[in-house]
Amino acid sequence: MMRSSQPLTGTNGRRCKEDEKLINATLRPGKRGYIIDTRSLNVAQQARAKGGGFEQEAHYPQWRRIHKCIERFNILQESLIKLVEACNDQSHNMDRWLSKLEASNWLTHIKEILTAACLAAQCIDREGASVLVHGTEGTDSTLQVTSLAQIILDPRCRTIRGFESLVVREWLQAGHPFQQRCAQSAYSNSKQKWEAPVFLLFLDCVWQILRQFPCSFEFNEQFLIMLFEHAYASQFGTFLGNNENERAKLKLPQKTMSLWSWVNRSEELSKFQNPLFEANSLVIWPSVAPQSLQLWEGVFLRWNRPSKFLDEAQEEMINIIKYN
Amino acid sequence: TLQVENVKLLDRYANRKAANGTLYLTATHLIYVDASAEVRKETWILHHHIATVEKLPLTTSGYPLLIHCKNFHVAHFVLGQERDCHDVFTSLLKLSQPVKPEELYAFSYNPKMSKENREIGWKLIDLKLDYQRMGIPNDYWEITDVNKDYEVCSTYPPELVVPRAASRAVVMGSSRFRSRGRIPVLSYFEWCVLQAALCRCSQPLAGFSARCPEDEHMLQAIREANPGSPFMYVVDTRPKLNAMANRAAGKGYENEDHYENIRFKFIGIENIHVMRNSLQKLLEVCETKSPSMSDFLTGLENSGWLRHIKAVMDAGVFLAKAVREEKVSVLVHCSDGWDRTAQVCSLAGLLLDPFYRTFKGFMVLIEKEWIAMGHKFSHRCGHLDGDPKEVSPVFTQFVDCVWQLMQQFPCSFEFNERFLLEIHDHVYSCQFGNFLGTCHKEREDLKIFEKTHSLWPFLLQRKQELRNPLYRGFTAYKELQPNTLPFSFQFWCGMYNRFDKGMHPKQCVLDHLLSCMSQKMKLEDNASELE
Repeated sequence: MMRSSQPLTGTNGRRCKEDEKLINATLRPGKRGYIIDTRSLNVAQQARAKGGGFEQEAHYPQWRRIHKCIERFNILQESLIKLVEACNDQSHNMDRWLSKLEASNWLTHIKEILTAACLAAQCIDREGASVLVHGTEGTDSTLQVTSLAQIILDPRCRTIRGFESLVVREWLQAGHPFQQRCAQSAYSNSKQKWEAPVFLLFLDCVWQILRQFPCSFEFNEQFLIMLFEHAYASQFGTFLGNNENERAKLKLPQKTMSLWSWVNRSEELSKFQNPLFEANSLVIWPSVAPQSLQLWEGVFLRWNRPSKFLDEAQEEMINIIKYN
Repeated sequence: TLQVENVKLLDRYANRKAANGTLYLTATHLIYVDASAEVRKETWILHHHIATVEKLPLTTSGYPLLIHCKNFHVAHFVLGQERDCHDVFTSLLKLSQPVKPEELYAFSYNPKMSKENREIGWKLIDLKLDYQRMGIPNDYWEITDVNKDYEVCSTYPPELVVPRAASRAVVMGSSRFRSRGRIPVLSYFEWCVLQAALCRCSQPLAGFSARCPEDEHMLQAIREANPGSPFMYVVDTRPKLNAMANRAAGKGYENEDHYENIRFKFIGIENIHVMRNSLQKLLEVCETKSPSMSDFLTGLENSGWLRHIKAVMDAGVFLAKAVREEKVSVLVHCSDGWDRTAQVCSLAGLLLDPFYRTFKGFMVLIEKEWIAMGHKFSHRCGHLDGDPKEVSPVFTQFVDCVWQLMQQFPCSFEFNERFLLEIHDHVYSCQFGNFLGTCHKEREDLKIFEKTHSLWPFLLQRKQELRNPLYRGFTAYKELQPNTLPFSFQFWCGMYNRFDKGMHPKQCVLDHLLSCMSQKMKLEDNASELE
């Protein structure tokens, strides 16, 4: 599985032999490849006017292009704001709640992203075919798809260390612009330009899979919530900057501490471990039926309702597993 | 037994290969056997569970038959021959719509059990013991047998709990002023420090101006049985408009001017027809082949189902708060006092008293507030071929409310979700006598207690799989105070899409925990054997 940004075909239909050679080199002998474009066909076509575009069949004959539309990042921030507003509504009106929840489209995005990730994983697992994923810049929806596909396919990504590596590889090193995307969250008076909860959506998708396969992850929900928090505001330097280049220029490894060095200490790690974890080597396919996807209460209703009873349930569960 | 070969059972997802097998129709069940896969797979459907059977238009693969069950199982068969399809269709129509009570499964169900054990099964739940647990009889309340021959009310049980201060004349007078003679009686009493009581009845036959001194004395007796409180609540669980419309028919609600020291309150829960339609719409959403998230949420909203669940829960919370926090007695009714009243009284009991959250306690609660107090199970669940307008998912809503509480308070119930689903299944299965008929008198007439089995011993035997591993015990939580903001209510996939296995989590936490605990018990047993 590979990821990239959009090819700069432009309106002239430019081609680049080196690019074709590069991705063709990943094809298995006798097999086709799949290009998953996270833009709709329309959007991909319109991109040509600005110098961008998509891979043309004539130039990439061994590759089949599929458009699996994932909402562009600028829409996502609005979605988050609407969702949080819905959760804060104290009006005791069920219709209003469901209506606002639906209008936020948050769960729709979750469904779209998981569907695209399942598609990428299916190409690899079921067909043994190579996959190239890209959107426009390759820094947002692309990363959601590639990292979730790995969670589906690779049990190592479901261990704590494996997941940390996944985040470092597919988000930090891949250049997801954390500084821009996580500058503001849902409560902000200033106008949003580059902000978008792309990483949060990814974590939410991981949580959805965790909920459906509660015994397949070494980490628990708290771990994901911790990562969400540190992406937005942290005493550690891990999520600062927009890419490795900036991090090097800011001398972060010299001037700041790494989140992982703190998280991986045994006394911290114990809080993030999933007592139900049983290592397996399965490929896990999440259901994307609406009935299977739920609002992530641990994040979105965290401050709206007491967690006492749910915490006690968690304690009971840990006790049962410990003493049996 | 009818047998048809080469029948396909379709999955909800068109791209999966349809199973190919044999359909059998026995006296009690439809059984589909799929021998095509490596492992033989059987699908059993109880005839009594079948709500509707439809013949769909002919397709390229054959003659389709669509079966909708009362427990929300949907089975889509395709038969090869038209003759077979028609035979199965007509047989199922007849088998799923018994006409006489004697045709119900409970009268032919005959497990290996001694006569004594069967009788003991019926004695397992004794409502008198529950009243004793509440400290009744006491100075203010007594168990009366004034209804032993059903003179007061034919849909109430023979023994009722009424205020000591209510004389026989008051009871009889009140029964003439209440719809179907369903006088105010005690549902729940706080036995320790407080004296507040939760009582239930039906609507008064007040019309626009009628009065009944005996009924007024009845309420006064209830109020005075709680000496600490200057007033009592009278709660009408109907929407105000419906209650007002009832006045034109000579019924209605209590006038605060006629009854001393009552505070009257409407808590609008819709009627059985609205609920029936609501469930219908919800099931349509559940059955939609590949809905978008928007389709699903919009469909859920349009059905109104969660709105109604919240309304029932809000009412239960109000009753519990009045009794526990305000220490004020409450008298609650709807129209006939056997639908919404049963829901809110049993819910209030669950919120107030941890006993009802145990296995035994929950059985007592259902026997008391639903079975004994005359919820018309036979009509509401369509046991016999009858008026479809009487059918309504009243009990289903109550079970849904219990499940909502289990989500908010995972450690406070002794039983798990499966226990609820089993009970719900059996309310419709007619395999046991508990839910047959419409009231105690009818059950006596049908000789339920001599001829059928009680459900409760059968469920108690299966405690190991029906228990909640996270249960913290009887004393861990006293009253439950649920959050009733809309986001607190979830769509219960395990009930309404129960048989769509693909939608549920692939690894079941409940099973994992139960097996952990049973392993420990096995080891302990082995250890004690070795000793």
